[in-house]
Amino acid sequence: MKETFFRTMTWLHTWVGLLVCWVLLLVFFAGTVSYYRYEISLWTQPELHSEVFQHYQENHLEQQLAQGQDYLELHAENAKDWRINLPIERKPYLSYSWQTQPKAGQRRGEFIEHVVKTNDQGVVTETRDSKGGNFFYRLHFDLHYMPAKIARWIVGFCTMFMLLALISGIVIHKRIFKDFFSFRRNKGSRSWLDAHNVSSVLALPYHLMITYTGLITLMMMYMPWGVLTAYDGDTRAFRAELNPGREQVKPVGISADMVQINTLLPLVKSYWGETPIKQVVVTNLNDQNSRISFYKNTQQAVTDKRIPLVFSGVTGKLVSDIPDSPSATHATHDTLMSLHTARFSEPLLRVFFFICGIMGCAMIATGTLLWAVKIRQKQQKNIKNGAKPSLGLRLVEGLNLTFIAGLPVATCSFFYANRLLPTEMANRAQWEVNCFFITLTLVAMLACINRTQTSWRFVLRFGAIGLLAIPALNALTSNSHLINNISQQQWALVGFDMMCVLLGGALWFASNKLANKISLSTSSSPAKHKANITPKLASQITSTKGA
Amino acid sequence: MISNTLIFSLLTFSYLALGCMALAMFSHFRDSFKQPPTQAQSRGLYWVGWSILIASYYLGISYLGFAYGSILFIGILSFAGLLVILTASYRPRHLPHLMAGSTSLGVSLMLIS
Amino acid sequence: MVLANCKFRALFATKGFDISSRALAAIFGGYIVAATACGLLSLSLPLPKAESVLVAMMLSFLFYLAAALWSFSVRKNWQAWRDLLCISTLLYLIILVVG
Repeated sequence: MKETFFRTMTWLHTWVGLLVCWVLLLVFFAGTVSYYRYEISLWTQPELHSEVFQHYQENHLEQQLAQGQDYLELHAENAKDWRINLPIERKPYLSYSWQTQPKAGQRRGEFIEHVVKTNDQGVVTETRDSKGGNFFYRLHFDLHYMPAKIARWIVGFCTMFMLLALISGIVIHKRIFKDFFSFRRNKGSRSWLDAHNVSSVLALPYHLMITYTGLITLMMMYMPWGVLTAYDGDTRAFRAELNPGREQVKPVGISADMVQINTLLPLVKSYWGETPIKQVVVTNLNDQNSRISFYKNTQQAVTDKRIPLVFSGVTGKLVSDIPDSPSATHATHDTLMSLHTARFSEPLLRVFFFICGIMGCAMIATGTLLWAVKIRQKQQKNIKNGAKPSLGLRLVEGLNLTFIAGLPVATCSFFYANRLLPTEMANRAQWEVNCFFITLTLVAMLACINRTQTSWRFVLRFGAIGLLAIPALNALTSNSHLINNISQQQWALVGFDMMCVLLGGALWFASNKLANKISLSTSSSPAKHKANITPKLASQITSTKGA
Repeated sequence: MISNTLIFSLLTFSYLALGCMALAMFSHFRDSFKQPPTQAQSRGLYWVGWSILIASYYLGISYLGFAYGSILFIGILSFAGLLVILTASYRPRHLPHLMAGSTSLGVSLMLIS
Repeated sequence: MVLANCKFRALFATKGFDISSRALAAIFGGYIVAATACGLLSLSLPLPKAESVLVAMMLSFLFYLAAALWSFSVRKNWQAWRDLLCISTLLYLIILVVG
C-alpha cells in the first residue's frame, strides 16, 4: 500500500503494535509474573509459612497415603473427589484437598485444601481467602471482569497482532546484526529505538516462541475447523483420540468398599520405578466405578502431558492403558505447549524465562514510548506556540503512564491488600483483585490530569517504595521474616522478597533517571538535543516513523 | 538433577563468546581499546566468539539433554547478550577485563563441580 | 446524480477507507483463509486423523499471518479482498470434493 514493501511493513509494524500494545503489555506482564505462580500463592498464604514445609520422602509415602485416606474419609465423606498432593519443589508441603458436591445450578463444587503440618501436629485448615498467583495466571488469558470466552478471543486477537508486529519488525530492522550490541544512551528518541531493538532482538526466539505457542494453547477455541471437517464437529471424539485415558467414568450408583490407596504403591513402582509421585486423585468415591489415579512428577521433561496410572478403586486393578511413545506430531504439539507454560523449568531456567518475559514487557513499553516521543517531537513547534498536543498523543501518553508505570504499582497494591485486608472480610479474594484494578484506575486518573515526567517519577517512586518495603511487610504480617526464611532455606519466600526488592530498585533507578532528565531538559535547549542526532540516524528515524 | 554451577559457567562462557563477537565490530573495539581493530583481529575475534558459543552449546546439551539444554542455552544467550550490551555501552573500557574475569570464574566453577 | 456519484467515489478514494478495507480483509478474509486451509489440511494430510487435525490447527496461524501480510502488501485494497476470497472459496470447494 505504500510505495515499497519495506515502507508498508514499517507502517504495519507501527500501527499494529500501537493498537493493541496496552492489552499486550497487561498480558505479557501477567504472564511473566505467573512464572512464579506457586511461589506467589505460597507468599500470599502466610498461614503456611511455618511448620508445614517438607521434602518428598519416598519411605514415608505409604504412611502419608494411608493417613491421607483416613483423613479424607473422616472429613470429606460426601465429596466429589479427593486429592492427596505430595510435596514437590515448588509446593513444598503435603496437602489433602477435595471438591464438594456442586450445589444446584453450579458446575463445580467448592475446592477445599487442608495442609498437613510436619511432626504430626495436625493440619492447617484455615488459610486466608486469596487468589494468589492464580490471579495473575488467569489475568494472563481470561483478563478480568468479563466472561472468559470473550476475554480469550480478545487476547487471541491481540496475540495475532503481536505475531504480525514481530514479523514486520524483523523485516524492517535491516541492521539486525550490525546493531546487535548497540545501545546509544542519552540520545533522545534514538535511545528509545535502541532499547526497543535490543529488547526485541536479544529475546527474539523467546518472543516468537511465546507468541506462537500462546496461540497454540488455545487453538481448539480459535481454529476448530479441522475438527469440523475431519470429525464432523465431534470435539469429544477428537479430544478422546488426542488424550486417551482422560475420559471420566460415571458412577454407577452401587456402593462398594474401596481399597487402601497405599496397597497400590508396589504396582505403581513397577511401572515408574523411583520417579516421584505428585498427586493421587480419587473419583467416584465408594462407588463400584471408583477410580484412583496416580500422577507423576514429570520433573525436567519438556512435556505438559499428565498421563496417569488409573486403578479401579474397588479391585485395585490397573484400568488405564500404558501409552506408547508419542508420535512426532503429538510430541511437537506437547513440546510447544510445555514451552509456553514452562512447567518443566528448574529455578535457574525459570529466572531466564522471567528475564525474557521482562524483556518482552520492555519491548512493548519502549515501542509505544518511542512512538509518543517521536510524535511529540513532530508537534514540538506547535506545542511551543501554545497549541495543545493532539488527542492521539495525549491518549497514548496517558495509556503509557497508566500501564507502564501503573502495572507494577497495581501488583504491589495486590500484595499489600493480601496482607492488610482483614482475614474474615466477606469476598476477600475478590477485594484483593479489586485493589489491583483500583490502583490502576487511580494512576489512570492521574494520567488524565498530568502526563509529564513529574507524574511518571511520582508513580515510579511510589511503586519503588512499595516494592522495596515488601520484606518489611512480610516480616510484620506473617510469622516469618527474611532472615529466618533464609536460615530455614525457604527459597520460594526468600526469592519472592528478593525479587520485589530487585524490581523496586529498578523502579527507583528509573525514577532517578527521569529526575536527571528533568533537570537536564530545563537547562539545555532542544536545539542542542537535536544536534546529537547525526543526519544518517535522523534519516533512519524518519524511515521508521511510518505514517 | 541439573547442576546450577554448570549453568553459571555456561553463562560466563556465553558472555565471553558474545563479548568477542561485540569486539569484532569496529565501533565496540574502538570504544574498548581506544584504537581501531585490524582486519585480522576483527575476523579472529568473530570466529573465536562463534567457536566458544558452539562449544558451550555442545557442553550444555551433552550434560542437560538436547531439549532442555537447547531451551536453557537460548535463555542464557539472551541474558548474556543483555549483560554484554550493558557493559559495552556503559563501561566499554572494562569489557575485556570482565570477559577475562568471567572466563576464569567459569573455568574454576567447572573444575570445582 | 453526477454529484452524488462523485462524492461516492471520493469516499472510496480516501486513505481511511483504504486502510479500513485492508484491515477488514486481513482480519476476516485472513481468518476465512486460515479456517478453510485448516479444514482442508485436516482432511488431506497423510497422517492419522487426530494428528493431521493437530498439524492443520498448528499451521493455520501461519496462513492467517501470511494472508494478513498479503492484504497490506497488494497495490489496491480490492485486490486483497479478491485474492483472499478466491483462495478461500477454492479451498472450500476442494473440501467439498474431498470430504
